[in-house]
Amino acid sequence: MPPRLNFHGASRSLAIRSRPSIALRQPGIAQVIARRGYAEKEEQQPTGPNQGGGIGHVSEEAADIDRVTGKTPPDIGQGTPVQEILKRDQEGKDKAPEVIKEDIGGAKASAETMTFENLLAMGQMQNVANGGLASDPVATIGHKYGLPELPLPPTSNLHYRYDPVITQVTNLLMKHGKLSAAQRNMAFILNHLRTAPPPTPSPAHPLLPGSPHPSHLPLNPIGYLTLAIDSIAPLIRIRSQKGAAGGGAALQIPVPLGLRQRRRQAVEWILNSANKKNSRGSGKSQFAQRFAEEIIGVIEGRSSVWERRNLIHKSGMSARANLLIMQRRRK
Amino acid sequence: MATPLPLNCWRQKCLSRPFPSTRLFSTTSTKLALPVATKKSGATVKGQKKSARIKSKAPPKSTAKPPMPGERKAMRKRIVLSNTNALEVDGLVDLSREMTGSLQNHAGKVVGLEGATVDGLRAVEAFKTTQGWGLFRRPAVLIREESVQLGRRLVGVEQGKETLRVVVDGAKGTGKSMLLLQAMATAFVRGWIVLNVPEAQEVVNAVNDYAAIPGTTPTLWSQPAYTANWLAQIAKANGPILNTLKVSQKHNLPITVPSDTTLTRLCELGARDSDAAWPVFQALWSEITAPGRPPILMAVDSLSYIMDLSQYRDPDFNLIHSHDLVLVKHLTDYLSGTRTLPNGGAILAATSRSHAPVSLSMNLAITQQVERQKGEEITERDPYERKYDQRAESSLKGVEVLMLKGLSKVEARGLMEYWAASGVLRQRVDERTVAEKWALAGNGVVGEIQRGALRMRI
Amino acid sequence: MKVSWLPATLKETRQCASAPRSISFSRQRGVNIRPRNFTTSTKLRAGIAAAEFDFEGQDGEGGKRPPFYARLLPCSPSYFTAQPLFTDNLLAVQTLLERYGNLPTVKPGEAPRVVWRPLADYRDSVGEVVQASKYSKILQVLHRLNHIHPSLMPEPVKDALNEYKRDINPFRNVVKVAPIDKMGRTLGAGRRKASTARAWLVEGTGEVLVNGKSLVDAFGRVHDRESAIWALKATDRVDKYNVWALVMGGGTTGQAEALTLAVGKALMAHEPALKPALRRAGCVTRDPRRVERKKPGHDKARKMPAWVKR
Repeated sequence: MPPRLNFHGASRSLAIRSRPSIALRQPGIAQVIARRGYAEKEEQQPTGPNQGGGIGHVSEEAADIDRVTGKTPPDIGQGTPVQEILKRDQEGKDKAPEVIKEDIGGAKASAETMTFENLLAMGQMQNVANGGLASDPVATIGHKYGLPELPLPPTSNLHYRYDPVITQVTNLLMKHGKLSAAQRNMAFILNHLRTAPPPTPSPAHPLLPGSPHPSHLPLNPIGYLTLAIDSIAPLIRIRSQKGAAGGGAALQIPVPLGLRQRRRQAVEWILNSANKKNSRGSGKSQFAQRFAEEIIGVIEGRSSVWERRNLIHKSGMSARANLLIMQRRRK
Repeated sequence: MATPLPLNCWRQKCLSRPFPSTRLFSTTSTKLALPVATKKSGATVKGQKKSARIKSKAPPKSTAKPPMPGERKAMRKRIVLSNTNALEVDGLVDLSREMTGSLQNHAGKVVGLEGATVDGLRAVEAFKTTQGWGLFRRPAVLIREESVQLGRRLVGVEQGKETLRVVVDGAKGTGKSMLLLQAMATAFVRGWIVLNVPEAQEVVNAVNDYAAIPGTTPTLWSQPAYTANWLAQIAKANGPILNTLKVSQKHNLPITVPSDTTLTRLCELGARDSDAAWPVFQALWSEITAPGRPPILMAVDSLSYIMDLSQYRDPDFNLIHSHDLVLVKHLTDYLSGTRTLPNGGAILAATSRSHAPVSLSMNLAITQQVERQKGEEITERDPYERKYDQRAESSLKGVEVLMLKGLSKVEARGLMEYWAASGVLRQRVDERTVAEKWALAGNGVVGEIQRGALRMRI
Repeated sequence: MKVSWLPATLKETRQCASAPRSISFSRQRGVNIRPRNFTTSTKLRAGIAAAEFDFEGQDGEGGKRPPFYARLLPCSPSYFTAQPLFTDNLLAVQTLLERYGNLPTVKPGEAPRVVWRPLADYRDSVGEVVQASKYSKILQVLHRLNHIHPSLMPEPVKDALNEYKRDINPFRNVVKVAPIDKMGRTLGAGRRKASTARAWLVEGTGEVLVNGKSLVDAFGRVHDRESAIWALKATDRVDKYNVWALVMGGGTTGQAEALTLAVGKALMAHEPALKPALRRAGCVTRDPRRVERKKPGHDKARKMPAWVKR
């Protein structure tokens, strides 16, 4: 009995593959360039005899000739440039020779040296200088104005464009998903910090060690805000584990917090306290103003948030023995 | 006959509508029939779904003392001109009399305003809350190309004793009110008398008392309280000049004015008695337009409000045209060129492109004038449009239009360098930052540059 | 007895008998896709029944007679393993590695990028239940073989690699680059949420028109304006190009971020070398999130109607 014909097997065994078995390693850009049609290619025009580097404009040429022959050359600095005349004269502009028309688009002239065509040619010349052929792929092309240095600065990403503290606080200010309103509030807060008189920190509630002088804070509102938040951010939270203390009683266990968690807790406290305040004026920005006042209050040690922080830390200190109990139990 | 349909349709779980689908031609029987006993709305039937009852708590009442009347508004309208945190900018020169003649030397740079000028400007309410004065150490303005032009014209009319009539227009945030402020600052520096209507809306929106002036046809209307206020403002702003000027003519006034009073005193007398305010203003006007007196600058912001009907009503309950308000008429007479200032001077008006009524006539007049200035073909008025205002059109005939566009990159850079030097903009100001902010602000709209660099960028 | 009449496995047996140590690697494709028979009778018979005796010795046309076994032999030594075909394949590649393992290799990252056939495909082809960890053993060996320097790659290794390659190599798939037209413009398209955007980029001075309006008129929010030209901003090219864009659908955020992508792509057409920078700036990746659909029984996508006791 003949075996059943296996088409798949046949097609696989036939070594017809449109690609080489092993792809050549080559930069993607070079491939792209090889296949690209350039806009300039079609517009390339034959250069005239007096276009090139050798001879200048008609008047410059005349000046040169006169200088050589010993006559008084025409003063080039005196005359009105054609471009200025043409600026006033629309008809003349339309009928001007191509060379002058090109010249009028003066803005382009500076960018001329940076065109693709030019860069390509320069790359080829570089190849020759390096001992290769002009037809070798030009590796450095694919950009016109230089490449930005990688890695880009951290705020260059579309989704992380603001300072991380600002982003976090803005998101915590947000209500009902209205980011735009939250950002407006954030901007108001920063401007309020900028214009409010410099704070006077109280010695009873010391700020983070190494914080700048208070008079330097207003002109760096982001630093101001960060300092306030980081200064009152609690180091721990108290987790109460049910039944761990025996007899169903909850055991208070201090748990360390991460940076973002600490900041979040701090902002929540500030928000709570700002919401309880009464606004002084009227208008849209009242909430933002209360929040900003609270930030200043935190720096000056007036805010009630300090008490909350101290309470947490104190109870964490007293409950630190419970950590050992938990550890022992785990063993 | 209508088929009786089950009212409690839900019980039989049928999907038909609980209303009769056939209607009778006669309504008699339905009318005569006893009303169907409807269930009380509160009563529920077993198995029927009802919406969740969520108890709403009354919001907690605030025990704090509410703010005093007017306190909130004062808070909102408060103008702060200084930020003590901002750095003093080195090499900031103040706008001076000598400088106003040659502003082109300072084009693209920021110049400060000195204390006396700031006082004057504050008195005429030239500063606005939206202009961001509160961010910097002291008020300073950017000298842009248009400021140079306007400054040159102002100096020109002072020497030629002509009347400059200009309407400043441009898109929202292009600095129209700021240009008015700069003109006023120039006027203060050069010793002119400045009269400013900071917001034309307040003249026409019927919040002030008004009275017909007897013996005028068509009837003109005065606004005693507003005029009195205005007189006080004029006295305060131009005190240094008006103090040196004395009443020189005979006036027929309802109040007694001693013969040797200064013009400041005259204004104050008028401001004290609102009934006499308008006659006093007329007296003041004839005094300051007398030969040998300084030039006058009049400025109006939000022009489109006074280019239409006002909100005031006449005894027949028709709306009064704003040009029948005597105060507005005074301004438009000079704007249209029917009256001129004998000692030279200028009347400047700025349009408002945000939240101001659309005045078709004003827009058309501006478009036509711009086209005339450029030598282009002039737009005709739309023959099918009925909302044109003939009086507004005639009042704007022949007025020069100064069209504001975005700043140039050089000007934007000058401005941003000033911000950076003040310590408010924490960024290196180079070609790249300038280009970026300039593009983000819709090709250099100055208000938007400020919003994008200082206000809203977080 | 004619060989061609014999069932497949038996035929192989005979071949094996003639060359006892050659493994079935000589096949073009070690792992043939065998059509799965639902009746296994042939196979069974072949496995169970003994071959007929060849008493006459018809095969030997004079000369040497092939060695004759009086009983059936499995075609491969791994016949009695759980996955004989897989074991064969693994042994085959391992032999190759033993033989050619000392050839010079390229540096670790520089081998040609290859996508191997997925596990499911392999299982299908051998018809055996092969564990992923087992298949990865083959792949490990192949990965090592792939690092042999391309210029020295022996033919058998090439063949073996080819057998395990996917038919389509995604790494060879080069993205089509938008052309620059005669006027020097490039077109990019982008989408986000319900918005679609097209942006034409031309060398210029940093002017932006969105639907014929300036950036300020098109987007009231500074954040959105920044989003729209983020590609230019992140690469310091705001003043080097002019943008003319059309946006449709959706809200302001969607339109602005659709523009981000459109401008980014148009910029990549001008300057392909910017792609890594643009990817890091977030201007290449399409955000695929859309409004979640509403479900029956829910008030919105997730919201349930309020619970009522009765």
